[in-house]
Amino acid sequence: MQRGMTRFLIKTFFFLLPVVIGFGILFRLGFAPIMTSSGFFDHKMQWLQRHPLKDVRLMAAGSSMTVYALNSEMIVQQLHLPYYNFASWSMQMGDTRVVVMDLVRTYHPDYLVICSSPAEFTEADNPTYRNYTGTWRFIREHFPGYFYFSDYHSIHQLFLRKYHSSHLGMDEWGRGTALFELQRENPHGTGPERLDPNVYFNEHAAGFEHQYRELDSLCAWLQQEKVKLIFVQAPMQAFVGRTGRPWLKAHFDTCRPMVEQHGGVYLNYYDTTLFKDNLFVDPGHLTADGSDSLTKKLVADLKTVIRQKR
Amino acid sequence: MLFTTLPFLLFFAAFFLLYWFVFARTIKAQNLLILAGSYFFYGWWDWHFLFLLAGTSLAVYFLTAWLHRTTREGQKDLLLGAGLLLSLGSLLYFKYFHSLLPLGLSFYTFKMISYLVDIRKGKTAPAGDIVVFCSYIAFFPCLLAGPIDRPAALIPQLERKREFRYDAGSDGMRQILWGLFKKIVIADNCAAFSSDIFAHYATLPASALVYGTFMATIWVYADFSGYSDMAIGLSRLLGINVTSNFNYPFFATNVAEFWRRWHITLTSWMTDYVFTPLNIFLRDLGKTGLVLAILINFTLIGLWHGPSWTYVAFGFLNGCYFIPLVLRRGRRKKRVEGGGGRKRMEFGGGGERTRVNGGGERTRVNGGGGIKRNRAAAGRIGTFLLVMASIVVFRSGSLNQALGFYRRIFSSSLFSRFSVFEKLNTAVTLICIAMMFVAEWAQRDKRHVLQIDGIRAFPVRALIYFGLMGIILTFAATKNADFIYFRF
Repeated sequence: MQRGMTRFLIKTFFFLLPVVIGFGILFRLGFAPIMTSSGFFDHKMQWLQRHPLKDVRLMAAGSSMTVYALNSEMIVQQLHLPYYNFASWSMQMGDTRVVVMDLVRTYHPDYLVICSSPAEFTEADNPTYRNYTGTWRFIREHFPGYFYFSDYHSIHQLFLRKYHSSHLGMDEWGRGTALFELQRENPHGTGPERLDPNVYFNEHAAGFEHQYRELDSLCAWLQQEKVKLIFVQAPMQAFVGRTGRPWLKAHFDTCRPMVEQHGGVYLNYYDTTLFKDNLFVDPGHLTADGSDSLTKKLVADLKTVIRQKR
Repeated sequence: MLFTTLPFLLFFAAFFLLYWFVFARTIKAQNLLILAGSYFFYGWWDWHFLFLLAGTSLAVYFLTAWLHRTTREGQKDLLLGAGLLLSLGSLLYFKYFHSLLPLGLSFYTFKMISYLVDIRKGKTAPAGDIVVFCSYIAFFPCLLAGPIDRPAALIPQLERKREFRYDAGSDGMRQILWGLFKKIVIADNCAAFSSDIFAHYATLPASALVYGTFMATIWVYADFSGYSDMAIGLSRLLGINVTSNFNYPFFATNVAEFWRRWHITLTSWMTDYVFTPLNIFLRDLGKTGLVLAILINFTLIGLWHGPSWTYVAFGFLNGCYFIPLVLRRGRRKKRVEGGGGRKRMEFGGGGERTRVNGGGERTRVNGGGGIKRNRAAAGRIGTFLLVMASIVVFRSGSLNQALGFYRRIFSSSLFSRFSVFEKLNTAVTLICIAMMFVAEWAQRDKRHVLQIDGIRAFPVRALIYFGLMGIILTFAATKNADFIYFRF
């Protein structure tokens, strides 16, 4: 034994011990570890830990469009399929891909619905989703405290996440749409997220080649896994089409073949006569009435898709 | 695998236990472990460039072995030239003509060059075996951003048996703790604030730009010196002493002193291998030659950071700061010679200095006198402002941005109010910066701030450690950013 090694190791152990105990206490007090930069996503994953799903045949995933636009109750009551909405805010297509790959491996659904808008093709990926899905499932499920230390977040941020993050109510049916409830309470109010039309809906939008490659790769992977992708082009307010028709058409023309050539179903709901401006909270997000209209249309289309598959 | 991440913590814990409990029987086994661990650490980033590191290390080792054996002077020069061409060639190619820069390339190339030149000059003996040499080049605590240790300092340590000493180990841990505080509480928070201000400088008042420049200056210092503290601390845990890279540079009373305290291993490397030969070559030009040598040396220091005009301007600007000191030295020298006495002159004497004794301990040498103290304080503030001015160029994306930034700073909005975002974080960061300055000032004759052996009472020491740990755990920045000097 080296000189003083035992003393050194014991002192180091007793120095680190209070840190581990401290985080244990925080965990008990409900200051959950931060797993990704999305509080909503983390909340959903933690909810799933406590309420494991037995069967998911229809899965929804994607960004805020999927969170807002799908009425879980209508889907479950009319399609009679075990359903869950895994969508979360502010996800780019690359983020959706890594999350979907992880979820499909876990739940083996038959159908996947992604309700998408050009805003999901405008930014770089968020690496925190990759960190989360890249962590061994065993650690995620049995040692969530690991996330206190991996990609470290300070105690200050744990407090902010607990006390200052947005309201996270979930519906009873698909338990997917927190904002849905908020909107029902206040249909004309605003959710925590509002899209800035100058950022997401101009000629520079949907120009991120990487995100198109991610969509292509996701479609190919889903085909290989025999999961039917239903890619819904979400409606937008009329002015988006007026101001940016050429790039919007280019966006549609890029996504459609990617989905269809890998056996997916492409549904374009960008229809300003059906989804009038009063059905939107902002240029891209629907109100509760808007989501009812969209879900009604989607359910009808899904019935056809399911019938054809059978 | 950043020093501040969980994978590194796990890697180092495993490495430490293997190093002292399994491989401690022979020096060779320990060195082999250092080499394997260093290559694993490097390969974790990008294993492709591992071949470059290993390949150039092997080539330089065999070239210098041949150089050492041969007795023909012409052949020695030829081999030295081949070694320099190889190491500098790969540095220049990847740094200036390739889209990907292998991590740590500038740092380990400088180690190779000093090994080649020192062997040629007979200043140092060649490494005992290839494992020692490759471990010297790839020693993982210093591989990615220095300190750039000279062969004479590190190789002998790798060739003798290391023993774990409790004092050195616990001192290393304290230095790591202080480095961690500087990096993830101060540097990463300052990075967020300054990046925001530099990105939107065109729309902000001058007062906000000054604040952003201050934050950027502290960011660069806390990030790099924090990394160096952690590298030194980790090395001490392995029973190896590496050269200090910072000596409280913000307490320098002039720019020359600042550069003797800032990134010491690079500055001293450049002084020995670039400035001194240049100065000798240009000595016939007198003071002009000296100024030229300084300007070339500093421009090269700037260029070392990367192929950007902003770095060139940063180096050149710092070189220009020396010109008044050179001119003043000439006047003082004349005065001293007129008085008949002989005195050894340095650029920018005066102020308070520290002297390092053989054991590495520092003692303070006071200039003495109230006027001198006031002059030293004014010197410190002036030097800090000059450094801040050069950081604007260093931090800007282009020379145009830097010029625009300067133009906006010197405007009437210098005294206008501006609003800061994340007020709590800003306040905490400013308090932590103040804490850092106070602690550094109080401990400026020590090797690092947490060298608090003088405090006998264990509860007080424990309070300091746990207090610092508490601050780190509570206020670490949201984004754990890469170390700045990794990109150089």
